[in-house]
Amino acid sequence: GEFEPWGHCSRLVLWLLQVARMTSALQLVDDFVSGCRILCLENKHQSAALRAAKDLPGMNKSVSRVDAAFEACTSSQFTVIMVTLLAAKAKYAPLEDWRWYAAQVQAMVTVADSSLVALVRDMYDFVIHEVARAYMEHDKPAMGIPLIDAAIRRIQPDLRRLTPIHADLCKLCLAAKNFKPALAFMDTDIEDLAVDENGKFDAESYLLYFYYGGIIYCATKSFQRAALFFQAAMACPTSVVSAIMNEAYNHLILVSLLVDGKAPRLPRYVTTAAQQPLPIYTRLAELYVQGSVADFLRHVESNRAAFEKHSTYGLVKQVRESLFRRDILRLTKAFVTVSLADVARRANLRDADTAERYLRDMMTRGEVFGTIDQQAGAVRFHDNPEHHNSTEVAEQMEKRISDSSRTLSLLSSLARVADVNPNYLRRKLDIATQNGSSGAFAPETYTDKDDVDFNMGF
Amino acid sequence: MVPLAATTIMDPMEVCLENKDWSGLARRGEETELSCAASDKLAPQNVYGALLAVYLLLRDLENAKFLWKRMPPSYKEATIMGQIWEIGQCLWRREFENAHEKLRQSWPAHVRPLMVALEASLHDEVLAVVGNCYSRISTEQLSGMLGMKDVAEACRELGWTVDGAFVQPKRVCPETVSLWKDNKTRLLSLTSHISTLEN
Repeated sequence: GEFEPWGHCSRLVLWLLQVARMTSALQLVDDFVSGCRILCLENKHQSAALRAAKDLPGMNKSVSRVDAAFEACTSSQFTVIMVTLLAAKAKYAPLEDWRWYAAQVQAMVTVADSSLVALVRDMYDFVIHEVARAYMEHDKPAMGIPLIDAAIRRIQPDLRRLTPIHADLCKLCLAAKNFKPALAFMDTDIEDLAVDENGKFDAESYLLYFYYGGIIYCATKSFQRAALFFQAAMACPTSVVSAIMNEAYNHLILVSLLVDGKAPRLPRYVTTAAQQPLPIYTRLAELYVQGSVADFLRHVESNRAAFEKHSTYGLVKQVRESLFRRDILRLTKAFVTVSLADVARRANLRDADTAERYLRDMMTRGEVFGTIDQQAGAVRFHDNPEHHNSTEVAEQMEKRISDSSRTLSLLSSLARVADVNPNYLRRKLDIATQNGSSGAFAPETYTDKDDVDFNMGF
Repeated sequence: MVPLAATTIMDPMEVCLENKDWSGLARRGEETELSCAASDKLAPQNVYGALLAVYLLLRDLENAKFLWKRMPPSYKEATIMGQIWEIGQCLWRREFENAHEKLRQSWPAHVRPLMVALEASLHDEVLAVVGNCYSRISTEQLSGMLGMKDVAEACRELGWTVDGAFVQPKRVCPETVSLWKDNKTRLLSLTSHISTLEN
């Protein structure tokens, strides 16, 4: 057709604009790095962090430049830049060479400055989550354990603060069947959450840490700690149901039977919505506490497939074993001397030899006190010979007092912070006004709808 | 994964072995396993063997079980490893007779001190269990549990009466070691507790 100069010109201009945009997009990473380097060298790390948050979404087009840019920035001064580049790579590049990425994350964690990481915690957590996921996907969990361990310690030298990446370490340890690295963190009680720069903590990471941690403690037979962890998972304030909390509750039921011999009693602050255990577990607990041994065993056998599907059959078998021990323990309350054959009969054990073995094990563990007379084929029970007057007992008491003092001072400081928090005071006043009382907090009216905002600013 | 050369890795562990520092040996073994895994390499078989044996010696049976579970299948097939694990299974089931029987063989150098120490600790454990749990036990069973044909000498040393086919054990009291070495520290901590409780 006719030559249309203006049409061609406008198309040319549009094409030039597109090329310019593409080139600038390709240059975004380089521009970001060169700009931030100046800021970092001038110690304006906060500004660098703000720029990082702004530029990150645009880096999807120039992510191929990240590797070269990263090489030039591996020093603690450029922590903000390193973390941003790694976050961009994880978000926008297909991680074909995940080992190379893991090596880069390792390099970053080794040199990073913890105070600077605090400015970009969100991205740091994302990077570590992604690298942990890569290790899991490629079936090399043991390989990732030292890196995640170092990553946690980099941002949190105080073991009493929980970070979102604790859950990743627990997951890797579970997959690798090597629990000691996780236990090094888990054996210290958590007193605080390491919230990110926006004052938030990811609920899923919280739940997974306590759920995986509970599973690890079950595996190492520390059932008291396991119960504590599962309860901590249940205590997460929520108004919706979480699958993780449901699983935690099912496990808590089994662990409570092992520790206390009865179903768990959840504290009042646990959301009712979260209390949805599966009927097979609640029925198991009922039969354990009140039913006959035969009914209990029948329930276990008939639901074996379901337990195996939930990976709880191992725990269920241990609950079954504890049933025999519980019945033997009941005998100590009724008899002073009883024949081994009688013990076997009353506790549903195979024979007198089995009964003897059970008794010997329980005596060694300090669950039962007595002596076995093989000649008479009987066992004689007596009271706990411990008079609690040894140095070991005194030291245990001292440790308990120290721990309690510490908890007491922690609670006092939390109470002091809460008492000047406007949200908390407003809620207290609202509840008091509803009750028509003089202002004292009335716990009887506390329901799910009154969930206190746990983001209290500390 | 390629196993690293055994000689470069074993030296710190061999030092622990010579000094009979069992918990140090366990710690070194765990560190070695993890640092090798971090470079995607396999720790040498001897490291796994020594670690498994030291877990049994320290009676850390849960960690022994999981070490066995995560061990590469090629290592599990080694005769020595299988033999060590069989002893672990006996300890788990508290079958002292079988444990003694399986301990009685010649062991390679990297686990021999551990197995010797394990046999001695098993002997002490059986005496403690029998002393605390039995008022009368058959000589036959005791000799099986101790892995000894004649238990008369051992009983005499402990002051246990042998009465025909039965032995009357006595409670074995472990030595109590006071960990309160410093009275001043003790007094300071007590003072701080009392002041916390009263304020």
